[in-house]
Amino acid sequence: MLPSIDLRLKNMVKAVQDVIAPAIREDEKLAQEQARLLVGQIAMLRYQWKDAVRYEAGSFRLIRGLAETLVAQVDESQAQVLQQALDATDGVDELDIDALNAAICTLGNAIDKVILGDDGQKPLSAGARAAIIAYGEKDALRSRVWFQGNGIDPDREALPPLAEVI
Amino acid sequence: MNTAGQPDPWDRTAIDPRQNVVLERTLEYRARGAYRPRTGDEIAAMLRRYFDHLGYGAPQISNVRRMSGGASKEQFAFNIVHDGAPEGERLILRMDPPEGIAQTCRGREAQLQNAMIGTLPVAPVRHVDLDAEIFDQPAAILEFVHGVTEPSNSDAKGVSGMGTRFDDWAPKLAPQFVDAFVKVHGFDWTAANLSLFAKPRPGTIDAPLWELNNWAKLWWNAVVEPVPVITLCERWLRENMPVCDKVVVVHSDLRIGNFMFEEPSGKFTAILDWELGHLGDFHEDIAWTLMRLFGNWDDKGRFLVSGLLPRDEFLEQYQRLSGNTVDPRKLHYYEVLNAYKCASMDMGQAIRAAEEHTNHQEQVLTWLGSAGGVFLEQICKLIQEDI
Repeated sequence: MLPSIDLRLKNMVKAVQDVIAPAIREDEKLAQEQARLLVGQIAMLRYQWKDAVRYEAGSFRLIRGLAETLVAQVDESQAQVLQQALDATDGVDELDIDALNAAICTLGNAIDKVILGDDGQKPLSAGARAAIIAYGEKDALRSRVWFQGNGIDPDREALPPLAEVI
Repeated sequence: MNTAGQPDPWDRTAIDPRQNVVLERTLEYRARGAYRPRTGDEIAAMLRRYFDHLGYGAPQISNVRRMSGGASKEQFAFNIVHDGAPEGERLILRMDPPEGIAQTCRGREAQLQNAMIGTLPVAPVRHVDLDAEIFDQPAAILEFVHGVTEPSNSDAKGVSGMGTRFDDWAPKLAPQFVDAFVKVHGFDWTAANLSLFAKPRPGTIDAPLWELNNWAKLWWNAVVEPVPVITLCERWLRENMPVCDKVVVVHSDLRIGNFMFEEPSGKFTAILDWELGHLGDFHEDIAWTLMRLFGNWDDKGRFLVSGLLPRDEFLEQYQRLSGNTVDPRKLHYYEVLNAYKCASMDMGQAIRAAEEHTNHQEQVLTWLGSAGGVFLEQICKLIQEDI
């Protein structure tokens, strides 16, 4: 691929830093902040783009695993809701980021229904809660590693490398 | 309502009426389509129209400057000269974009801010266009207050103030920071004009229920991608609601980036951003400011609340000076609620507004949205303590 994605992203940063930002008037604070954020967003994209599909595929497998675990933890009607979502997302193309995202939403909507249990009318077992928390911990860690370039996470120094969590 | 006079914690209709109007209005604004940030000339024209409507004689608007900072409102500083004030003055326009990271009411903010005059340093609110009758969007006109939210010489500056290091400034700022909580929670709101606020009953779960319903509605109206932990968190919050014994003013966002001070004295000149303020439980404010996202580490390896003082010192000073005793179970509940609020804002409303292009600085929204994992981790940890 010529020119490469990396090269074009680098060029964008250079254009903002060398041309656009210096041309912004001193009193245009919002424009200055937007230029800084643009540089930061592009830096994050450079870190992420090569792994974006793998990251989304990992998110899909994780939430699918949660749905599979919950099937055994809930009543029959709820298990049916989950099974329908599992069937609908079976065999999704793991190289298609949009298909992966749609599948994540399908599974997530079914799981949400089970968690809410008709607004508290149906119980949620301790086992189901523990499974959701275990899933949530993995999901949160992946997200924190993925977006650590934003500099917001107060514990970002302690995060593992991306390869360990993707 | 059950026999003990407590509402059903799953009753989603139990919500502050004015806040409900704002949330419903958000859907109408969203349907109007993408928003383009206004130019200085457009803002000047809107201001002239507004001051004409208010009866200011021959208002002349100049030097309109868009302000940075904040994650939800559009703000402009401007000069105005009119027949009643030929010498002119500088004021602030604080205006809603169609959607921001949070959906709030300019009128409620103004009532609370003006009620605090004489109790705390605040920017007085002169006028409010509550439902966008004159402006294109709801807006308020505030007096200009001088000061900074982060030291001018600081190298560590972040979005919405987060990540700012105060270093040598901390000893000057920390006592005023604690004092602000004491004064907000000690304020006698019963005599103030807070007509846009519903009043929760003490000894009931009104306060946490209304608050949770507000944020849950924001989340469900915005959700772009389901997040199971956020849904589990909502269920946990409904199952564990504590009674609010004493109803106080809750600022709701009193933390790093939301106090302004003058240099070099360090004297507070304004407590900012009252938009999330409401009547509720003081634990909500304490739990909010203790959040790790709003703090940072000093060179001695201590974690500092809002970059100012260690958690234990903050709690000790607050309790001693306010006379309020912090109940660890209630504090825990509000830590969960606050993490839920942040997750709803960052992973729901912020992302939705960015997707719909209904904000003036969508880059900020997606930047903050990318911090969602921090809150999910917090929710998991906090709920696990209870399981």
